[in-house]
Amino acid sequence: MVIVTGLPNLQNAPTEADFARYAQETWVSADWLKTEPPSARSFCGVPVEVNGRLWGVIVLDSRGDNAIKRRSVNLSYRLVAPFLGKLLERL
Amino acid sequence: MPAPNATQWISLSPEKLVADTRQQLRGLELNIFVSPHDVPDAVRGYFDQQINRFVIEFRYLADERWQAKTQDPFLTLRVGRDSKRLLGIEVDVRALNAQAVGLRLHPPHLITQAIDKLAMEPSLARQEDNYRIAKDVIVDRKKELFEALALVG
Repeated sequence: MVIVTGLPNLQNAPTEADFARYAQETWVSADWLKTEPPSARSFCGVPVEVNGRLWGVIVLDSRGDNAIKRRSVNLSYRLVAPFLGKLLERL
Repeated sequence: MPAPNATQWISLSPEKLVADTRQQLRGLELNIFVSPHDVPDAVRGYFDQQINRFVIEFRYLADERWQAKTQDPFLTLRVGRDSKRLLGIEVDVRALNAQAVGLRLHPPHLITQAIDKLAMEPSLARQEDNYRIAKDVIVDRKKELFEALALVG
């Protein structure tokens, strides 16, 4: 599980340095960010498994710069993961 | 399918089993945590009369089939078929000639050593965190887990 927080605000007169840092911390290009600047300032990626195998990833984002807490994500994901796994088995 | 004489699960606090870590990934320092799938939420220890072995089982977010990995004549590890997580441990206590009292006196070194050995297998290195957590749980909950051994003759 990966959590990235504290990304620059690209909605409010961002500088070149903001784009550069955002791009570096999210592995996208600064040019791509400039076409439609995202409003998310925090991301979290949670692995989803089906029968013990990695199936995909749930990505959460937030406009808050420090809004995603590991504990909250963990607790919430633990509630849905067993059902999610069963549902995805059928796909 | 659990054994009919399996004991109650002992609840764990997954949050407390995982430490906060910052790691470098492609030159960037990130908050990387153990997957929730790799952290057990419960554990239990019981003597399974059907297989005549003492069994420790871990419970995770989802069930998975396991394969046996025999570490020595007395100990078999149940490893997730695909995830390679440690799902359980079987100990042939009678063959070990270890009476309940004997095992209680000696910490379950046999098990922790077997987990260490498992973690050293190159193909299983990706589950290093899971094995470490499982080992910590066994050490921390030793007393409760091995209680059932007192009933083994």
